[in-house]
Amino acid sequence: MSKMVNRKILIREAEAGDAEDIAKMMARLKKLNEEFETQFKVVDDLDKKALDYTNKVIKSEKSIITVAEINGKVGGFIKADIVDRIFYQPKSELRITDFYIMPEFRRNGLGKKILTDLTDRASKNGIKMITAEFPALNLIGLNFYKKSGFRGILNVYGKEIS
Amino acid sequence: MNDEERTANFNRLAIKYSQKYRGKINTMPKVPINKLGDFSIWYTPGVAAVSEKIKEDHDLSFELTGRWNSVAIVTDGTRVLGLGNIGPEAAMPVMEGKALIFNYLGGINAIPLPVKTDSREYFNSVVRSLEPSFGAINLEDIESPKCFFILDELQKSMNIPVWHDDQLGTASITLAGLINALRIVGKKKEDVRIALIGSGAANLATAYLLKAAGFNTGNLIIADHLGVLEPEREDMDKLMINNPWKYKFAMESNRDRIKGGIENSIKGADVIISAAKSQPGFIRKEWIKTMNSDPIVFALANPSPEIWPGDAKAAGARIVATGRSDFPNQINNSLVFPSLFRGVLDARAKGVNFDVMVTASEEIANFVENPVEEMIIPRMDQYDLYPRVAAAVAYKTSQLGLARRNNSKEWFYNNAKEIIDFNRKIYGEILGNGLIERMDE
Repeated sequence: MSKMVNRKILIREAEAGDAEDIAKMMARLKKLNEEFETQFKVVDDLDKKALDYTNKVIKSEKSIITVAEINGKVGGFIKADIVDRIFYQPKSELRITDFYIMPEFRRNGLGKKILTDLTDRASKNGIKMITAEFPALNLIGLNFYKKSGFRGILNVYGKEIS
Repeated sequence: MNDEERTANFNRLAIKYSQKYRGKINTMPKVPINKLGDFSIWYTPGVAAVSEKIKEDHDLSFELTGRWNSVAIVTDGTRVLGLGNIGPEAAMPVMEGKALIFNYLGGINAIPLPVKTDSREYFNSVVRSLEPSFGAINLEDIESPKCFFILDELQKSMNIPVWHDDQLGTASITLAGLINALRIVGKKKEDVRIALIGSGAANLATAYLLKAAGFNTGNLIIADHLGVLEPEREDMDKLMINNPWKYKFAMESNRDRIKGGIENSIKGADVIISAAKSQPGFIRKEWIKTMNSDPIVFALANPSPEIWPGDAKAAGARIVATGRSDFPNQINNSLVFPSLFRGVLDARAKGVNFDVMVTASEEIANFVENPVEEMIIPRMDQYDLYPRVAAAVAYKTSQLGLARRNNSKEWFYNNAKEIIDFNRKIYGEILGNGLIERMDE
């Protein structure tokens, strides 16, 4: 895509003013998850929930949320939580819970850039471990993380209770 | 008779004659059997020597058996005509009809093979296993987007051409018509903006073929029941998973990132190619009025187009094409598949691709010597079309390194003409001396 050749990318920490852009992508991400797993059926007021949640995590000390600006337009974000580990070492991990890039900006190495930036931020904060959660059947996500050096370390299984 | 009465009459006759003839095709010997002892040549023991030769060189199966002229018509019956998922048994009459056209226009032995399975993997496995018996595969009436996955997987894994006529045949004849339509209005393919209404198998394949033919992808705009296809549309992630071909095109097409309803894709467009809904008035006259100068409108839904040609013309359309034979400019797959298969079979091709299709479309377009508004594509009864397109296809296959047999275009033309003429001659003889009973009405 020739449009992409001269693009300027900026990855930065999210600000309060990014909430709407991020919430829009957050809602799209949850709908994407719904495609993989019936247990991820989205709520009716998804857009509102996504905005409330986004506003909360932008302010949270226990989360990191960054956005990617492509030629001035927010086109992707990543959100990760700092999780304390009681029984294991190292004592904290950074767990990616939400990661979304708008379709137009995919397949150009942007995901890798966002992830690398996040890893650098974790490292600067003394965090020695990074994990990611995503639907088990999301093979695109699985391949992305495997390529980025991640390996499966925890299984989460589920079933319906009648 | 009005349209409805005419359709009802065709339906009645189809049932009546299906009961009478019980199937449309037959297998018949093509070698002399003068005495029963001849079976020692055609069958055991002599035939074993032929098998031994093919065992040493599998490609000899194209020379020493009828493989060179055999096509499998395979369907799972999931999207038959406009009838939907009616199953493989009910698909058979349609596949037999297809085999009839293959034979009559292309001189090809086509075998209808409706397959009973819900599994894509199983279906593909069945088709792959047919390879030793056929020179090419024609997939038919398979639901979308399953048909895209199947075609892609089979084309990559088989060493004979695999074709899905609902996608590729429709795309090829649409391109042929468009080439001549643009000649008439004096516009260039690089410049025209095209609204593709409907994003099913046919229109999506057309979009990819237009790209291969040198149209500017950024000038193509696809619209469907959710409106204009663009990267920010809500269903984009769903498409990424379930219909990667449509997803990919959403990224490449619509350079101006137009959003909104179908009418937004038409505004300022030079061409409409609609394969959307059999509902006259679905494309509104006032939308045509918003198009660029000399509008070209292909309203291809069957049995009724998305806008009646008269209405389109009244709204300013200069050239109109439909899928129907009772209006000028019928965009009809039968102008493509018999000759395209004749061509790939004659070249003993290992595959078929968009480049070959572009060649076929150009040859069909060039067949019309002086295209005018009411005549942008050939008629079905212009019989020289078939060997000409076959020759162009075979020669192109050869140029692309896809052929097992290479020769000149002229040779391929003479060869195809001889096969088609001979086949029609035999059939004419049988019909002429009453061995096939005539229809009584």
